[in-house]
Amino acid sequence: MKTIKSKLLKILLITILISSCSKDNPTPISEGLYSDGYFIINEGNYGVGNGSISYVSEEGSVVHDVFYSNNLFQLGDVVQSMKIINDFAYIVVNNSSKIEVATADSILYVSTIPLSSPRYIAQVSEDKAYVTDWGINGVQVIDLNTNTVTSSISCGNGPEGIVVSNGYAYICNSGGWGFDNTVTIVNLENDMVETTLTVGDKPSSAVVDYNGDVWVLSSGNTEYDADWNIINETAGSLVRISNNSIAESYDFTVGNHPSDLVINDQGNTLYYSDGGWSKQVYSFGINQGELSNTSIINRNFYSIAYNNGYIYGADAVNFSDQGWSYRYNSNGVIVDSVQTGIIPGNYCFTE
Amino acid sequence: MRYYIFYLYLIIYCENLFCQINANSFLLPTTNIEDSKLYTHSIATNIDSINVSSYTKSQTLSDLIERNSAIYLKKYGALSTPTFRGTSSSHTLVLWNGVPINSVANGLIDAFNVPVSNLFNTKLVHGGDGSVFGSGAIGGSIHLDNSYKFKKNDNLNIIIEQGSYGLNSNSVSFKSSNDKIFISSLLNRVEDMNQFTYINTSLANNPLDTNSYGKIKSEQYQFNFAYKNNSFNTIRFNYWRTYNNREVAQNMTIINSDAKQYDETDRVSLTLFNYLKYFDFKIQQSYLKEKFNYTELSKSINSYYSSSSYITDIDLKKKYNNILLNIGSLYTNNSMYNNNYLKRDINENYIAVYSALQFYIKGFKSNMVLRQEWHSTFKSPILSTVALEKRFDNIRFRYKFNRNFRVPTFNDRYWFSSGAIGNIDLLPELAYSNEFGFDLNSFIDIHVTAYNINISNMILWQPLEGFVWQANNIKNVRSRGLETKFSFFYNNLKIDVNYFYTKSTNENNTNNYDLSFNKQLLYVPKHKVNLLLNYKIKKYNLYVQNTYTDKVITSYGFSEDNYLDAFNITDIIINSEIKNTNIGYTLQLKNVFDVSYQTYLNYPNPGREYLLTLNFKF
Repeated sequence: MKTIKSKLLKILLITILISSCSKDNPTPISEGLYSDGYFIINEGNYGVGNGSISYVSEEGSVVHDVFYSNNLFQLGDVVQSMKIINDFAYIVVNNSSKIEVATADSILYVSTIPLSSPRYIAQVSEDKAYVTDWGINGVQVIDLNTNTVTSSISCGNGPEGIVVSNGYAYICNSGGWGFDNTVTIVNLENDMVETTLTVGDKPSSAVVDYNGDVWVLSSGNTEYDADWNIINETAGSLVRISNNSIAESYDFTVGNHPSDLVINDQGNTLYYSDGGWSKQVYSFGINQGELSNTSIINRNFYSIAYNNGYIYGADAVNFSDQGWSYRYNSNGVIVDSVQTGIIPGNYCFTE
Repeated sequence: MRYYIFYLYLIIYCENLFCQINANSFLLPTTNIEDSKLYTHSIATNIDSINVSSYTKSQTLSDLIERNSAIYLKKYGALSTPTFRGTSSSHTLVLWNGVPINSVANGLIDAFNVPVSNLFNTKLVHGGDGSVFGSGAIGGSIHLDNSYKFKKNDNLNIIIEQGSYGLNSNSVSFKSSNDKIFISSLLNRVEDMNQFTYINTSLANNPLDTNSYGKIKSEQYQFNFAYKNNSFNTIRFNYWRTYNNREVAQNMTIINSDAKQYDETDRVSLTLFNYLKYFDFKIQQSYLKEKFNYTELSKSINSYYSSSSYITDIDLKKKYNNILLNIGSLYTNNSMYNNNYLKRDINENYIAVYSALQFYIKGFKSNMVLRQEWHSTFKSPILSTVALEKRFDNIRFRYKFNRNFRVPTFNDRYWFSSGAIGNIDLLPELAYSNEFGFDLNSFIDIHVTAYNINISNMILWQPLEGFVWQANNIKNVRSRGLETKFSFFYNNLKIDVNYFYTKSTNENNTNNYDLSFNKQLLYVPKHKVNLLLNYKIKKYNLYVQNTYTDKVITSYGFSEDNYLDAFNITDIIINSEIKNTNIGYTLQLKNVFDVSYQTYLNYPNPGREYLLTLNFKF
């Protein structure tokens, strides 16, 4: 709970931002505050309910807590992800079991969709979206006109990343609170499971390349015995799914646990974090044929993103206070950095 | 002998004048014949006594101490953790009849889980006393002691308590004693729906919401027995069983909690006192058993542990003119089954040896204590205390130095789950504390204590680079402050004013971007003020208590920190007796002005609350 004073200060700051923006380049009023920059999604401390959204303008100035300051109520516990769909922001709040829907350009509250343990949302048609939900080990089907759940589709354990390509949704079954190694493929015409592919252990993120092929990154699994000795460890892997079957597969070094697969705007270069304890960011051209040995950014990020020629990396620092976000060009050269809210875990770009 | 009389004077003084109300005496009112460790080592120590009978009858330690200005109580979910002097929750030690009862798993005490009763003498000790009480006594300690008296006395009490929000508590207790035998027993059942309303700031338009998930069912049973064989031998037996079953509400942004917690404890202690010709001898054998189960089935969480401890405590005291020599030894066996540890069965022993030397010369008293412990996975530092006090007429000056510690808990060392692993290489946390104070007894009573505590090697759970959390000895904290208490009488009115100033700061950067460096620690209020009025008229006793708690930081930021607002809570309590009967009643109005406040971010507290207690005495 922040004081009224700080709320006012934030509102004031936003007001200053609006006025300064409109002075420089007059824009129609209907174009809201948050149309040209991007959002950083801050999970907040687990169990505390202080997740937030920071907005970074095109000029690079940051406004924190934009959801709270516009709506005067807290977003919730573990703000996992956000997507802009049909001019609305769908903010997935994992531990508060809901999606908050707000207008995308001004983050004004519209409605709440109660769920179980939602992770990510993807639009699958003009008026339908899928939300991966650990609580039901499946996806919740959302009617985008009414913002309500209409049905659900069973997947594997801990459905996490979701992408859409050529009439199918690909859902990474990360294992959640257990174990899994599959990708569920759902036919968007009838919301039915088309097939389930076994990939590497614990798949969690996926992207679609310019051919429409789906790349899935799995982190690999580690098992311990009673004395904390590793008794079994599987390699992380990157697989390409083409025509709903596995076309190629790459294994990472055993002991590494790659994460956060993203893709560039052209759809031909992948980026991910890889390493054991400490990770670095690597790139992978989709026709490269083998995994890179040298990283392009020697830094450990809690999450990464790619947009408009830039790689973004979020650093949650000590996971209890405000963190940082760094921006790099596509060659891994640092451009700038901004301060974030508590535990920055995701990005949402307006374009 | 003179000093004994001095003690006695203070004891009587204290019992008659001060112990009616909350927490203001500085010396012990003891009704026990034997002297406890706390009593023996009370030189230059700042001790408050809380009399349960004038406050809540049957509720928890959390209720009992929540308005105490020396303590900040973090209440969230299933936990209510008290902290003293700007230290952390794990730096408060709770002892039952001299036996530490903090959880073997996490070193904490959950004050929600400790029922209080009219059979307890409750005392708060400000400041650590690790050389006397062992690990965890860094910020302060709370002592729950069953008193007994060998004097002809029989009574039976039935207490019924009803409160708003669905509180229903019944208790039966009796005491029976003569010049040889003392027996007391208590059975207490509490059911609390906890359906208080609060302003939900996590919903659009911040509507009034009801805490619908927070039902608590608890029971406790106590049996105490003491037998005086002759003037040289006393045997004492204490048994305490508690049982708690509750729904655990999450923070207000989480609507559908299905978390449940179940705790069950059994505590047994047998003590033999021998007042021999050349020395006093005490041997106490205790057995503590705890079962804990936390479930959140929607998230596949089912956390379980059961622990048992055997503690053998041998204590020898020798008085010789102005000198008292006290030596003792403790043997402790802790075993635990925990489904969050990879090696699920842990069994550890440790031994502690201490010695103390006290001098009493013309109003001057000193106490020097040394303690060494031997643990299996880490080396323990030597702990020490130097306590000095000197009395001139009606003023007492006191100084105390302590070297205290907290051993890494089982969780710190053996925890294993996805995302967090314990660290077997942890060292004990080490604390140095200095305090200086005076107590003036005049038409106005003034107690002032200034203290400084430096804690190094503090254990902090932090994410490693792979985002797995691990405990490491990396934090240094300095806490300093001032504790001031004033009390005076005016006819039938007694006024107490307490003011506590605490500055507790992080003294080193735990990483390159540490925003907490040199700042006040999270959840430590700088200022706390307590005003207590007690007005007696005929058979009526009226208490008005007002507690102001300063804002606390909840997380650090770049330009500004996030914090919880300061709050001011007023309670009114009236107690009296129904005419011509043996029925006492207490009416409590808690949070009279219906203030909405939080002591932990997003965890609401009840607004105005009514409690009626009837006490039938036979």
